[in-house]
Amino acid sequence: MEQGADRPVTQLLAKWRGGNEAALGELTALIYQELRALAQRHLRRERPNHTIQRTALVHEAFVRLINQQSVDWQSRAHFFALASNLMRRILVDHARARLAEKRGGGAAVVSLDEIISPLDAEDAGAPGSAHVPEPQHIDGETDDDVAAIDTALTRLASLDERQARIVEMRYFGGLTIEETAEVLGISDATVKREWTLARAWLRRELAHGA
Amino acid sequence: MDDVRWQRVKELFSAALEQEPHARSAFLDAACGGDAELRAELDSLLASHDSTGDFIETPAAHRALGLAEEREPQSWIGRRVGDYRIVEEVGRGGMSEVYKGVRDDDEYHKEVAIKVLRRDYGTRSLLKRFKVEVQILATLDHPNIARLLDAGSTEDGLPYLVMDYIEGQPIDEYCSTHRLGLTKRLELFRALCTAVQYVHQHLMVHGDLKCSNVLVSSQGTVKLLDFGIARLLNPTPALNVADQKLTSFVALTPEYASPEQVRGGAITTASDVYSLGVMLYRLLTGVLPHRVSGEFSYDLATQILHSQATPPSVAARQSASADIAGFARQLRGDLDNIILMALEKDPARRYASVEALEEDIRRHLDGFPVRARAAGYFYQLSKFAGRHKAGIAAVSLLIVTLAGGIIATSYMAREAFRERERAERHFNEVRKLANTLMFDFHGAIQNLPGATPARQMLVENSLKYLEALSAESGNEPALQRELAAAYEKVGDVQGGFRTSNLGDIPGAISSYRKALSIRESLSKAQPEDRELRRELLRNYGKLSEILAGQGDRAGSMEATRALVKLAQALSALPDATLADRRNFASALGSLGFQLSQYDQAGDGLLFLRQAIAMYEALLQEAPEDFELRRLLSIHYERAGEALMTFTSNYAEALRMYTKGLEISHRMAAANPQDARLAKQVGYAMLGAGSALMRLGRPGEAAEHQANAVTTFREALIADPKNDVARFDAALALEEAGASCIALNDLPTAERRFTEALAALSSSPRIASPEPSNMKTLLGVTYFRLGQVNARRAARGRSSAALQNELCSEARRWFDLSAPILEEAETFPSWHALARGKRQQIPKELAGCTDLAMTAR
Repeated sequence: MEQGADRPVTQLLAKWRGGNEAALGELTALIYQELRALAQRHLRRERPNHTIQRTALVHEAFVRLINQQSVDWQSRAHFFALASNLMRRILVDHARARLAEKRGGGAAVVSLDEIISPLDAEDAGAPGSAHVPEPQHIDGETDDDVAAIDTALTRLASLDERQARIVEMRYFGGLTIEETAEVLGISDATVKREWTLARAWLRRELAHGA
Repeated sequence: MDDVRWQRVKELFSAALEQEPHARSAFLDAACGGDAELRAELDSLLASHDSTGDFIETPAAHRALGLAEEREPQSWIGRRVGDYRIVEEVGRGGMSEVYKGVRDDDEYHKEVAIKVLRRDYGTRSLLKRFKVEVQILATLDHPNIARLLDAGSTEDGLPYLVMDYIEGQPIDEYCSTHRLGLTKRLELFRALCTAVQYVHQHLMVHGDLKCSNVLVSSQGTVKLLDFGIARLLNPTPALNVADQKLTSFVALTPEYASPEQVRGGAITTASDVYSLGVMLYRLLTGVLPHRVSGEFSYDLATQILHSQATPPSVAARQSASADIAGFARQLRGDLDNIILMALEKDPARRYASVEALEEDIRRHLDGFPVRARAAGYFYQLSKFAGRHKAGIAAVSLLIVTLAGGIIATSYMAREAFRERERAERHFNEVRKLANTLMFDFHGAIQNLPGATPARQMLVENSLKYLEALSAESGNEPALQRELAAAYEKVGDVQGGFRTSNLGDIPGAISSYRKALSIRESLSKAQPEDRELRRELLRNYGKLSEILAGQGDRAGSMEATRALVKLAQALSALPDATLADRRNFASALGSLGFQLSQYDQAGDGLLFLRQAIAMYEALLQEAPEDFELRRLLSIHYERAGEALMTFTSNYAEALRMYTKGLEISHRMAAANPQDARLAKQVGYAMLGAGSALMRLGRPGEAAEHQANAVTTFREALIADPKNDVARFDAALALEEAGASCIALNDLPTAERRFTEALAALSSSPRIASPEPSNMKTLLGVTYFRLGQVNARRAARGRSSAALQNELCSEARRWFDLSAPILEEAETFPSWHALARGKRQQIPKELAGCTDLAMTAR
C-alpha cells in the first residue's frame, strides 16, 4: 500500500460522507483487502510479536490506509464502523471454513449447555476425584462460537440495532469502550450499559442453542 | 418483543444491576409489578449476565488469528472478572495471583482486590466446594476482616475472590516501621484476636494465620485477609470430619503451622490459637519461635513438633533491635506464660479459645493476674501427682482417717455417756420425721392443685429440723448427705425446672448451691462413693439449667463444665453403667447446647456432635434404650437449631433435623400417648421446614409444616385450655402458610393464617397488655394476611376495582400488624424477626402503589 497524502481511502471516505454512494463500494473493497492481508500475515505468523500486542487489526489497517493529518473525526468513525463490519465477515468466513474442514461441512453448532453438562455430571459423581480434566474454554474465542455469535448477533440487530453495532465494534473490530463511544457519538457510560446487556443477551441466546 | 417493551427491559436491566445483588429480587418485584413475563425476561437476562464472565470480552481476532498467545504474559490486566476490570497486579502467592480491580459500572470506581486461583488449583472438585464456602464467607462482616465482595469463576474455570482492597503493611512490618511500644503492639494483636474469634463463631477456622495475612492500614486498623484461599484448601475444620484426608493438601506457611498441622491432622480453632501465638511471639520478639533457613524441612517439622520455644523474654533480650530488647523485662512473667501457653504442643493445653487468649492479654494490660499462670500451676501440680501417685494416695488416706477420728472424738466428748442413748433415739426420730415430710408427704401432694403453699411450709420445716440435727451431729456424713438431698428438694420446690414451682429462682439457686457444697465436701472425703458422685452430677445439672434459664452465662458455664468433668470421670470408670456413659454424652450435649445459645455456635456444635457420636455408639450396645434414642434425636435437632440460628449452613441443618426426625418420628408413632415426643417431632418438622425454605425448597418445607400443623392441632384439640399448645399450633400454621406464599398458593396460605388467628384470639395472653411470644405471633400473622392480599393484587389478574379492594384489605392487615411488630422490636429475642417483617411492608405494598399510579 502506497504512503502519502493521496491515499485513496481517505478521499473515498470524504466522498462517501459527501453523499457519493458509489464511493462506498470501492472503500469496502479496499479496506477488506487490507484487513484480509493483515489477518493472513498474522495467521502465517509473519509479523514480529511486539508490533501487534494489544492492537486491533482495524487500527493497523487505519494506520496504513488513512492519512492521519487530513482525516476528521467523522471519517475516522466511519472507517472504524466499516472496518469492524468487515472484520466480522473475515472472521466468520475464517471460522466457517475451519469448521467445515473439521466436520466435513454442515454440522450443527454445539450449544454451550451440551459442552457444560457432561462435565457437571461427572463432577457430581466424583466429588473428590483426583483426576479432573481441565475445564474447556467456554467463551467467545473458539471457532464454533464466532460463527454462532455472528448468527445471534444478526438476531440481536433486529431487536436493537445499536447494541448489535456495539458488539460488532467491540468483539469483531476489537475497539475499546471509549473508541466505540466515539465512533457512535454516544457516552462511554451508554456503551458500557448497552454492551453489558448485549453480552447477557447473546450469552443466553448461545446457551439455549437457538 | 416490541420496541417499547425492549426499552423497558433495558431500563430495568441496568437499574437492577445497580442494586446490590441481594436487593435485586425485591427491586424487580416492585418494578415489574404483576408483569410475570417481564419479570421472567429480566430474571433470565440477569442470570445470564451473572455467568457471562469474560464472554466475548477478548476480540474475536485475537484467538482466531493466533494473537492470544502473544497476549498471555499480561493476559489478566484489562480483563474483566465478574463486574470488575483488572487494572494491575498486586502480588503472587503460592497458589493465587492478586490483582487490583475496579468496578466498571461503578461511578466512583471502588478499588477491590481480586484473587485468582492458579490454574493448577482450578480443579473441578475444588471449584464446587469453593462455591459453598463462598456463601459462608460472604456472611462475615467484621471491622477487622477484609470483606468478601464477590466470587465466582472466570470463563476458563478459575475461581476468584473479590475482596476489599486494603492499602496497608503487614502487621509485623507496621509495628517495626512505626516503632510501636509494647502496649500498642498488644492492642493491635487484640483487635486481630477479635476478628479470629468472630471467624470461629461462624464455624470457620482460618488455618493460615501469619503476619503477611494481617495488614494494618495507614489509619492503624487491623485487617485480616485471605481466608478464602486457606479455607478453600482446608475444608476440614469443625464441621467436616469426613473430609479430613484433604488436610494434607494444606499449603501452609510452615513457620506459623501448629504441630497438628505439621502432622497433617485436623485443623481446629486450637490451631489458630497456636498460629496467633506465633504471631504474637514475632511481634514482641522480632523473631519466630521456630525457624530454619530455606524451605519447609524436616528440621523445622521436628522443631515444631518437639522442641520448646525459647521464652519470648529471652529471645527479645538477644534481639539486635533496641526497641525489642527493651521489651525483654516486660515480657518476663505473664507475657512469657501467655505466649508459651498459646504455643503448647498439645492443643488441649492451649487456650480453649481465641477469646480466652485475648482476655488474658487484656487482664495483663489491666494488671490482673492472668490465667496462663494459673493453668501452669495446675499443670505442674497434675504432673507432680502423676509422678507420685502412690504417695498422694497414702497421704489422702491419712487425712481421711485423722478427720474421722477427730469428728468421732468430739462427738463423743459432747455427750454424757448416760444421755447418749436417749439423745440418739430422739435424733433418729426427728431425722426420720424430717425425711418423711420431705420426701414421702411432699411427693404425695406435689401434683395437687393449690398445694404449693403447703409444700413450701413442709419443705421449710423439714429443712429446719435437718439443719438443727446437722448442727447437733457435727459432720456426720450420712446426715450431711440427707441434708444435701433436702436442700436439693427445697430448690426444686422453689424454682425447679421440671416441676411446678414457687417461682423463687434466687432461692432455688441458693438451695442448689448449698446442696452442692455439702456434696462436694462429702465426695472429697469419699471419692470412691459412686452414688454420691451421681448425686453431685444431678445437682450440677440442675444448677446449670436454672442458671442458664436466668441468663447467667458465667455461672451456668461453670456448672456445666463441672458437670462434664464429673460425668467424664464417672463414665471412665471400668464398670461404668450405661446410664453413666449416657450421662457423659448428655453433659457434653448440655455444654454444646449452652455454648450454641451463647453465640459460640462453633464450639457448641462441636460438643453437640460429640454427644451425638457418643449416643450413636451407646445405641450399638443398647439399640432399644428409649431414653438414649430420645436424647439422640433431641441432640440432632439441637444441632440443627444451632446451625439454623447461628450459621447459614442450612443444608447441614436440614441433615441434622432429618436425622433427628428419623428417630423421634418412629418413637412417637410407637408411643402415641407421649405428648412430649409428639411436641418434639412437631418442632423438628418446623425446623426442617425452615431449613428447606432457606434452601429454596418450599414444596418440601410445606409437607413438613403440614405434618407439624396436624400434630399441634391435635394436641390443642385434646387440651384446648393449654396456652402453650395454642402457641405451638398457631406457630405451625403461620410457618405452613408462609411456605404456601412462597409456592404462590395464596388460598391455602390464607386458610392457614385465618386458622392461626382463630387459635391465637382466644389466648389470655393476647388480651393482656404484657408483651409475649403469643402477641408477636399475632402481629406476624396479621402481616402474613396483608402479604396474601398484596400478592393477590400484584398478580394483576383481576379488575382494577377488585385490585384496589385487595390493596386496601392488605393495608388493613398491615396496619394491624405494624404496632405489634414495633413493640416486639424492642425485645432482643424478637428484634430481628419483627423488624424484618415491618420493613418488608412497604415493599409488599409497592405493587399497590404502582397500581394507584396507573389508575390515575
